Order: sequence, then C-alpha cells, then structure tokens
Amino acid sequence: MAVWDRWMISSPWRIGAFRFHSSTLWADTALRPSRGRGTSTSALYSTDFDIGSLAKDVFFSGLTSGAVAGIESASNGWNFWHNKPLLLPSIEITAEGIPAIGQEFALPGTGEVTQVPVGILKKGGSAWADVSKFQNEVSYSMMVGQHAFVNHPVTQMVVDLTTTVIPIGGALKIVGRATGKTFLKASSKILGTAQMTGTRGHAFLSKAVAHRYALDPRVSRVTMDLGYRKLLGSAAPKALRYGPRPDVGVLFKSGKFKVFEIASKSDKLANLASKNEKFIRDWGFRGVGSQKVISGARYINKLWPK
Amino acid sequence: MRHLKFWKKKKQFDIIKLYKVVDINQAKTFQCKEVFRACTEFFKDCTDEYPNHYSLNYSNKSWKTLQGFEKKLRKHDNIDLVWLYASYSPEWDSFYENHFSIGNAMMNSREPPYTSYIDIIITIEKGKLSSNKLYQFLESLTGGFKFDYGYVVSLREGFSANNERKDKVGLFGLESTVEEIDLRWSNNVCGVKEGYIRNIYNLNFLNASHLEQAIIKELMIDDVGTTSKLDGNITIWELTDEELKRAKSKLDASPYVIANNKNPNLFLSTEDAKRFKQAMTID
Repeated sequence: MAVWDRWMISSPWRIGAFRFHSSTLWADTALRPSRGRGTSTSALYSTDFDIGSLAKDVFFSGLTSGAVAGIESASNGWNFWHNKPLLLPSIEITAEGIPAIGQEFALPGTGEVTQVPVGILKKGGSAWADVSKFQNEVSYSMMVGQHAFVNHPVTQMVVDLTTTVIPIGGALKIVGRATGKTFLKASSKILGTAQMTGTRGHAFLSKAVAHRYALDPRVSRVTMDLGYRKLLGSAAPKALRYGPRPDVGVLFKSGKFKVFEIASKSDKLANLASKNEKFIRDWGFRGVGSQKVISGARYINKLWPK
Repeated sequence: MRHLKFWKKKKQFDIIKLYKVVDINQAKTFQCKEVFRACTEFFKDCTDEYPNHYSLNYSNKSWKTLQGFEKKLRKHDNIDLVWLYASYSPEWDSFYENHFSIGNAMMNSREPPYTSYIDIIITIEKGKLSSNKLYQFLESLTGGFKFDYGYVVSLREGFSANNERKDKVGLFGLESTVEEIDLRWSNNVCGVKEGYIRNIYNLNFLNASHLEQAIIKELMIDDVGTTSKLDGNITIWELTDEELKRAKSKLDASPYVIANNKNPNLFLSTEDAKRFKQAMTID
C-alpha cells in the first residue's frame, strides 16, 4: 500500500532575508539511499489545504523527474550493496501520471494502489505571472515499495510568493506573524518622528538607528528628535530650561542610555559631541550614558546632494 | 573621514579648563557676554582666526560669523546664556578642532541646586598656545571672572576634550561616554574651594585652599614643580613629566583627588563627598 506516503522534502528555503526549514510538510528523515535497506522512522505530513493546479503541476513535474533519476540511482546503489538487482518494475512516473491529492492511483508497473498525500497550499487565484521562480536546491526523498530510497535534489522549484505555499507557507505565516508582531512591538517603543533636514539621508539614518534599537529586547524606549526628559522620564532632572534634542535617544532597561546625533551638512561634528557630553555630565543623570555622532548622512549628501 | 586617515599625523591639543564655584546670585551676575568676548579674542590671538561656528544653549541653530552671533547675543540677558560654543575648523568632517565653550549650568534650571559651577573649556592646537598668551588671558579674565580652579591638559586627536578619554571612532561616527568618574567630578566641583582637585596635571591653577592642603603643601615643600602667582587668589603650579609622576603616585593615595581612577573610594568615602554632592545635585 504505502508507496507514496514516505516522501520528504527537507531543505533550507531562502526567501528574502528569511531562512527557515521547511520540515512542516514531511518529517521523515531516515531516508538514506546509501544505507540501502534503511527504514523510515516516520512519515508525517498534513494536507488540509487546497492546491492550485498550475503550481501543482510544476511542483510535481519537478518532483517526478527527480524521483525517476533518484530511483535509478538508488537501484544502482542497491545492486552494489546487495550484489543482486533491485526487484523493481520499471518506473514511469510522468507529470500526467500524478493524480490529484488524496486520489487513489496505481504505481505503474506494480499495480499497488495508494493515495497521494502531498500538496502545496495556494491561497487565492494567483496567476502564473505571480509565481516566482527560485533556484532552490530542494532535496526530497521517496520510498518505493518497502526497499528503495531516493534522495535527489530538484534544482528548480516554483513557489508562489504572493500567496502562501506549503511548506514555505506555514513557516512564512509563522515568521510573518512573528515578525509583524515584533515590528509592531518595536515600533511602539519609538516616540517622536525623525527630524527632516536639508541633508539627504538624515531622516533615513535616524529611522534606521531608531528601529535597530527598538528591535533590541534590552531597550525600553526610543525617542526621535525629542529631549532628554522624554527619553529618560523621571530619571531626568525637572525644570530645565534648555537642552539638546538628540536625533535618536535610546533608553535601556538597565537605566543606561545612548543618544545619537546624525550630523547634517551644516553641523559641526565636534559641537554635536560636545553639547551632549556637557549636558549629560552637568545634569548627572542617574544612568550613565554615551553619545554617538554619526556623520554618514553628510557623506550621502556630499555624493548625492539634496 | 579625517579621523580615519591614519597616515596623517595626529594633532595635539592643549585644553584649558577653568572652573568657578557659584551660588545662585553669582550665577545670575556672571558676565557671560564679556567672558565670551575675552575668549574670542584669546582664540583669535592663538589661532589667527575668529571662530566660524557659533552655537547657543544646546540648540541646533548655529551662526557662522561673530557679528551674526553677537547680534543674537544682544537679544539675550546674561542669565539666559547657559552654554556657548564657538569653534574654527577649515575641515568639514573633523571631530577635533580648535574651540571653546562657556557653561553656566545653574542658569539652566528653574529649580537650581544650592551650588553649581561655571566652566570654560578652551581647546587650542599645540604650538599655537604660549605661556605668555595664556597668562595674559587669565589675568584679563580675573578682572570679571575670578575662577577657583583650573588646569591645562595636553591630549592627542582622538581624545575627548570633555572627559579626557579616548573616543571610539568608527567609519562614520564617533562615540564617547559619560561615565561615573565624570559625574563624580561634576557633582563635586564645589570641593575645589576646600582643597580638593580633579587630578594632577602639568599645569594647575590652584586657589588658597589647595595651598593649605597637606599633600599639595608637602609636594611643594619637596620642590615638586614650580609655583608662581597669577593674582591674589590663583597660584600656578607647573610640573614637568617627571615631577608629575612623583606627584601622581602620592596623590593617588589621597582622598583629595576627586577623579581618582586608581582609588575612587578614597574620595567617595569622605563625609565631604556626601556634602558636596548634596549641595550640587537636585532630585
């Protein structure tokens, strides 16, 4: 019976900046053609999702051609290790031969009947144009009968980035939700808006620094273009008449703080450093702090003036 | 990115720091504009240039000419001037340049502490500052600004003139920290009227209380350094590098050094330290 129920796709997928393991669809990891007779310890998957026919076809055709090559290679291995030919009928799996998920089908040549338990999720009716191609090294494994195992890389895989694809889909969803939540949580730490100046890159760098620190779990508050009172709250002395407004202020949970000045074209770097140092020192804030002057925006503006 | 041009010879700077301990009345009557003019002339005397960047009260706004800045100053009373900064640098991307700043921190608070200080910090490239010019300037200052303590420290480019430590310099930025030792000094500056010093330097400007202080007195008796009078209140104590080492080794074991790196607890454990801090800080 179980011919097609022991596939495995386990490959690190790389999409954008995220890298994760697509082990959600199949979790069978005991497939080793070199071990010849090795057994499969588990064959887990879940297919409670819909599949778009176009994506399915492409997915299966890649898988099938790889499977054939893999089985041939596994047979050679089998013959080598056992010194007798693998008792397998000729296998002809074509794209046309792949049935829909859940549908029973007979493996050509063996007559064994099984169900196809694999699928990929494709939400919505995305067009072929939406489907992006990735040159992923997708290795999958397959068991034929009770004996042969294959593990063959498919060099081209089609995934739909605009929708969610399993196994990418589940992980993407999780990553997406987690990232969304993280960003949302991080953004809630930020007070104020970046100062707009006539220097190209000033606001961008301010935001970049603010978000970089907002994502840091050690940070409790980030301010943009606000004074020390807003940054430090009750730790800052009250009733001060004047004070610097650093482009970015970062308050750590430990009580330490850091202020950033993004130098614009008219600023004097030494002045920016001096005024914050002097202010922090004079008013003896309870947490010791540091200040950083970033001159990057000046170079951006020098190369590409606003 | 001048700071990254490692093949260029690093500049040396002489940094003059002068402190005056003030109460609220003295802070209010501080003639900031006059002192600013004196500093500007001294700056011009040393560098042959007037500053080309002026800034006021920590604001982001700046002025490029002395005339423009003075016009702005005329609109302010002295009590509204809490921090003035002026610098000259022909380079647009330099972190280290000739500059001076005048701070009257007490006037920055609507609920000021009992005691605070006025400080003048002047940074001049080495070689441009001569003893004669310096003493003339200090004498001219003492007419309107009788400072209580001061010193001159020489630092290489890459060191912060404020905290006298090396800055962390990166590709596109510079980072400096304000540490406990800096706060210890700023919270206890009023100790200079009772014989305490920040640390020992090649050139020190001491008041009468310092001359009465046992360890400094002892060092002077031992002929460590040479002394000369600047005026009735201030004595200049000049030490060579050798003498500085000797003096340091003695003073490191003394509670009279506020910014003592080796034994910070010597000062902090004194009753005076608690009293000074109470007088100089607000909750």
